[in-house]
Amino acid sequence: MSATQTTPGTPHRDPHPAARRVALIGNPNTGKTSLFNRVAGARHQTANFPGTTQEYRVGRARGEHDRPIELIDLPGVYTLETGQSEARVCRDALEGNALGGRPPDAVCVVVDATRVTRGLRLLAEIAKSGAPVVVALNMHDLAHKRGVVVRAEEIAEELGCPVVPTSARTGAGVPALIAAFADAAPVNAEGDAWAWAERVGSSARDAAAPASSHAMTERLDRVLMHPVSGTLVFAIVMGAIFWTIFKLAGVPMDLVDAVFARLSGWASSVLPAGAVSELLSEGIIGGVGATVIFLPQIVILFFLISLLEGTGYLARAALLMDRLFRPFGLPGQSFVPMLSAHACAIPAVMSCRGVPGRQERLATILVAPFLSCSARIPVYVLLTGLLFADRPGLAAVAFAGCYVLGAIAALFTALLFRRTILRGPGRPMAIDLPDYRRPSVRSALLTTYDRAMSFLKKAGTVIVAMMVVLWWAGEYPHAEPPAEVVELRAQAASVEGEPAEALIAEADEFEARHAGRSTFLGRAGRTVQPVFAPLGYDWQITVGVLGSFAAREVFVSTLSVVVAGSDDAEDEGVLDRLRTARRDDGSVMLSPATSWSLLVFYVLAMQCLPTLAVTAREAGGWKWAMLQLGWMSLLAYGAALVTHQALTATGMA
Amino acid sequence: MPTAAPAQTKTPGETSLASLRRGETGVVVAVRARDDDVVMLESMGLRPNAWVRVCRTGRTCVVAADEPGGCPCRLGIERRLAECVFVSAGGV
Amino acid sequence: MPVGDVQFWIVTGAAAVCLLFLLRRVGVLGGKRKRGRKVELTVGGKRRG
Repeated sequence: MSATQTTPGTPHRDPHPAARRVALIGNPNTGKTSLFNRVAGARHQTANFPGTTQEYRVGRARGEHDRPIELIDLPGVYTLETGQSEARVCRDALEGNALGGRPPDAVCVVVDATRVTRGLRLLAEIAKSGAPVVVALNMHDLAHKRGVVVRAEEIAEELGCPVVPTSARTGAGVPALIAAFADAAPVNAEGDAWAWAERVGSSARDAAAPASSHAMTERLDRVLMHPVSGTLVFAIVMGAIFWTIFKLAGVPMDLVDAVFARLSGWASSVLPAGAVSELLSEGIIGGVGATVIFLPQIVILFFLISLLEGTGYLARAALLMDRLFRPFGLPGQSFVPMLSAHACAIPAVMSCRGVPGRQERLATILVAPFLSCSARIPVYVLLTGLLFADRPGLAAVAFAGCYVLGAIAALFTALLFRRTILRGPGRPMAIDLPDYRRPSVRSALLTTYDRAMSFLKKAGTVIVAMMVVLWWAGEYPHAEPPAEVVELRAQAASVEGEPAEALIAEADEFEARHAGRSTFLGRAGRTVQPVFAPLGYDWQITVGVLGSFAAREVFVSTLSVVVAGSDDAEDEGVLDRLRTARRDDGSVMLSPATSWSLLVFYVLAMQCLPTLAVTAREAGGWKWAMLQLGWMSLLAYGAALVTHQALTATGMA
Repeated sequence: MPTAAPAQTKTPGETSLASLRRGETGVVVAVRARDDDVVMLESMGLRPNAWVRVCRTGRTCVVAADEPGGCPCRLGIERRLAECVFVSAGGV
Repeated sequence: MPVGDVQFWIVTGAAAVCLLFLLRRVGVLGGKRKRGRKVELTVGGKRRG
């Protein structure tokens, strides 16, 4: 799926054959990724280890004599000796089994200067591979501030390899670290890893253990991890995140919309009228715009998540959520993917890599798309707006209810899967709770950039291709104008003024509807319509549902095209048009019962091909993607059916 | 899934980390769980001879594990895992 | 179908390419045979194929 994904045996292509390959490894929360960002800046790409689902990043830098450096950011690990995928990936990278069979020229072990022993213990394991090592004594400034004095020279002497004090937050020591890559040397760590690490660590450190920052962390944790106050703060933090997303994303989303609308208009004015112009302006530019419009929300969400992660709060949130998720068979680590899923299910499914345990990881992947992503918003806005036209308060409640319904469906689906096909004990949770600290905005920005580019590449290409295919299917074959239209036009020619305009408008609408019915998409809609009839959908809504099978955000535009033949009217016009749209029998197309049924359907239905592709890749096979599609579609159909039938029975149709 | 039943494997003078109350300290004597969990807990800092202090009890415990000369690490671990970590209570 | 219109064939070609791309993407149509050691890990770390 990834544009930068490599294939087994022909791995990551290195444009600099003489580049020094340096692997960056360390415990979680040692500032490893911040250090990577410092060294490589934005000059990096995200890829996958050949044949695995584990993501890694490759960065570029310049070393001594301007020699290029290829920096590989490995996943954070405590040990290489477990069967967990992170440890396996690190082992493979160090042994040269991955990355084209070429082991790194140097391994940079990032050690938290405030907790040297734990980092050195990992170094002892790495040393056994005989790899040349450089130690980055990161957060050196923080250690100094806390009164932990670590003498880098003495550790270097003991290890026989360069040991460079660094601060990824300020950038101090980074040039020296880059220069030291050339002097990497193997380390001899004999005997028990802990004993060795303690001996080396204690010989180069003053024993005065500080407690000031720890005391602050402890005081904060007393509030933030308390079952009552912690949950309250969690709710406030999450509320603030969503409020920020919806408040701040509105303006850039409108801007993106306006830019693409103008671009589309410009393309159709520059190119000669015809199919190519329509494909470019409606299919390609419209398709790109339909994807890019959600980018502001995704950018804001990932920026906030990165900042929260930087403060150390996210680990606490995962622990808090563990209480809520465990009864449903999910661990607290599922919280981050579920939070991400509110922006887009694609990065959410990808971030399931952080969930330990196969069954729990698969369960999280399978339920993540239930959480309401930003692509569902246009559908929610349309239908709640139709249902509660003059009651914005009730519309907002219905809107929020969609999110709640999605979350409930996710949790109970997880419970169902964990009790059936994904049965088995979950891995008990053990998580490092880093000290609270000020987050690095720079690092958060770079991570956000990385995520945004990944989203654009992965979703953009697929959605654009789908839009082109859909546009074609919704355009051809062209139908001859029916006799009624010819007659209406003839009548219009015989009168003048407003009556003529009204007749022409009527003829246009009739012709557009007829043309829509005749296209491949229209025919498909009418063929499949009996399946959706119990849900209250006529052929036009069926076309909208089918058209949005690949990407749910196209539902509104597809429906507006089918209903009125043109989607270039203003939003308000679209809403009015859909409100007054009629079925072939003359009844209202979107009755309350049908609108509720559609709303429930879109909350629960999969309707996103790119997510299915990512699920197939991340879960390790298309059978999981098919299960996800099948279960979500079944649940959506069943719930929409019950909703429609119940409301019809109570006379709301 | 921890495989060891704490009550059966506890030796005299030992108590499980889960049975300590908030603020109590101990020294880790052994971790008796599934191999992978033992490796994970030990590599995170809950290794034999490590000094630990319980910061929060409940379904998930928060413990501070000693780092000689450095800042202690804080670990959040599930109770069933804490039941597999055996300590001699009151150690310094 | 406007078979006499050149533009129709251009957009049809573009749609066909996109469809092919999508089918390859979802694995319905196989891509180039992958060479080299075929090792794949599932999320649980079990080797397959």
